[in-house]
Amino acid sequence: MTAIDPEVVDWSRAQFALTAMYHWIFVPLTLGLSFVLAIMETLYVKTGDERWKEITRFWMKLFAVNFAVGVATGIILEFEFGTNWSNYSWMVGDIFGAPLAIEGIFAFFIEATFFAVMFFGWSRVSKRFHLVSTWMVAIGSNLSALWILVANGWMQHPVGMAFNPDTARNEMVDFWEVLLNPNAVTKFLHTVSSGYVLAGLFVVGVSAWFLLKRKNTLLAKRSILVAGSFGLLASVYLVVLGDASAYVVAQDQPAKLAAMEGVYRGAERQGIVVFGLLDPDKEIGDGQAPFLFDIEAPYMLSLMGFHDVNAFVAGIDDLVYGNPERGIEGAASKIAKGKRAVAALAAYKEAKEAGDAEAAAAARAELAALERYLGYGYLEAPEDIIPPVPLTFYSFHIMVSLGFWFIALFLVILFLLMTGRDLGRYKLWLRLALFSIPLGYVAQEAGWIVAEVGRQPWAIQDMLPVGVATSDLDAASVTVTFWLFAVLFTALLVAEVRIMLAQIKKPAASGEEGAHV
Amino acid sequence: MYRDGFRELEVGRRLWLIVIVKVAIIVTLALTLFPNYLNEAYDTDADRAAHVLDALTPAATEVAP
Repeated sequence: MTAIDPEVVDWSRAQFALTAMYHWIFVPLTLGLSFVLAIMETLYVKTGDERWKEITRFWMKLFAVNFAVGVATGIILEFEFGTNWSNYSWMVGDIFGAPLAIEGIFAFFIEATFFAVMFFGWSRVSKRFHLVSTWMVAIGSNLSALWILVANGWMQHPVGMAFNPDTARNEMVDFWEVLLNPNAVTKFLHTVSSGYVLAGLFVVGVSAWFLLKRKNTLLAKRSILVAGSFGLLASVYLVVLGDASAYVVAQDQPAKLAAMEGVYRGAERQGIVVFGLLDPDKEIGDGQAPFLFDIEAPYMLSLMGFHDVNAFVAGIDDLVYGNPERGIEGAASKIAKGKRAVAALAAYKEAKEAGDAEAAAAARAELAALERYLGYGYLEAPEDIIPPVPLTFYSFHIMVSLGFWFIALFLVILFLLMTGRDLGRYKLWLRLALFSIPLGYVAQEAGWIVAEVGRQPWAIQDMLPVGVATSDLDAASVTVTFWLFAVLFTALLVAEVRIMLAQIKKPAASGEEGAHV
Repeated sequence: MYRDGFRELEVGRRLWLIVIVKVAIIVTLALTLFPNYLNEAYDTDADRAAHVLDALTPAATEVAP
């Protein structure tokens, strides 16, 4: 066995990131807009007002464009697992099999059945059956996301499994522990809620454009009422959920938490950096201040991470070099134990091949005792346990800042609308709403970066670093496929935007001037 | 329902053309450029497991994180 070429690892990571991030452009709008459609159609069925039906059908067309262009972009990810990440895929196959199979069944049956009714069944089925179909599409799409995120949550915090040294696989021993993994639960809720916020921004932003152009005013105002309320509720829920997410990350991924907040030296009553400029010359363990400038909200990180304002929050230096006073084991010690675990695995393999049952049993016992350090055995330097701090820190703060901006935007727009003001006169806020659509996507991608870059160097937390998870491929072939997909996905994105714009610019039926909500 | 629905599409056949071409390209690229590494190289699960175990048990100095 020779070490994998680092260039292959980097290009494989870049390719997966490219594919996942493009895929994630399409998915969150589907997750959120499906519920907006369901709410609008419910209003139609409840009130019998045909204009609600027209409004629902208008947004359903845009939903169809997004869904049609985005569908199947995720297939590439599954192929990349088998090609670029074969060691990883082999190790997790038993864990991922169940959730991904359930996801496939959900996606197939719900998409094949209820999507057809939702898109094509307006005049073919009863109102109520159509409404049920729209709700089923929304619920089904979101449940599909659940299973993907259960798999992702397991990678961040592997539970409910046992490593089998005979097959080199992690085998599921407790399905419910995998499903109810706190990391998976918070990740699912956070991810789908962010999709609801994006859908709210999308509908409010497009509606704002209508109001700026003084067209489709009834559609715009009613849409803002529904999507703005939906987006606001989801945004506020994300703030609440942020607390739960911070708690989970603090328990399971302290290096990620430290990178997200740029904490190098741990402290009690640790604050959160509201705004900060990292010192680009800062090195781990150099004792220098990490920020050139920062504004801090005191106590908040201790409170969110440990639900105690006086709690000690470990910094990067503590995690890398250890802090015996706080009972924090340094990375060097973990790496040493990890190398013993790797040696025990090798000894077990050799003993089995030699038919030496006694030696195999001893090696397996040693491996079991050190298994939670196994991944550290593939690292060389203590500093390797820390993810890229600037990328994680800035992505996290961009995401959070935008989240609070979205709350303010939804609040103001809804206030103006619901207090009976002529929203069309507030052009600045309408333009801000329009320009917040791309910001919603920026927040989505920033969140993905925090989750995935923030857990480096691990493919599976503490168990398998990315350098060992990768297949031994030719770097040139990975590079070529990277650019192929970059071109393909960019073309798809351009197509989606162009078709969306064409649909939005078409006049809607319920656009009478000055219509009341 | 699908057949009638497609005939009466309002969004435009161009969209569905994109969908069909896209899926065809993705599936073709995936099948030609993304073979399953372990399935291509080995015939049995035992051999695949042995390969991954080899990857997991290198000399420590050979592994780059």
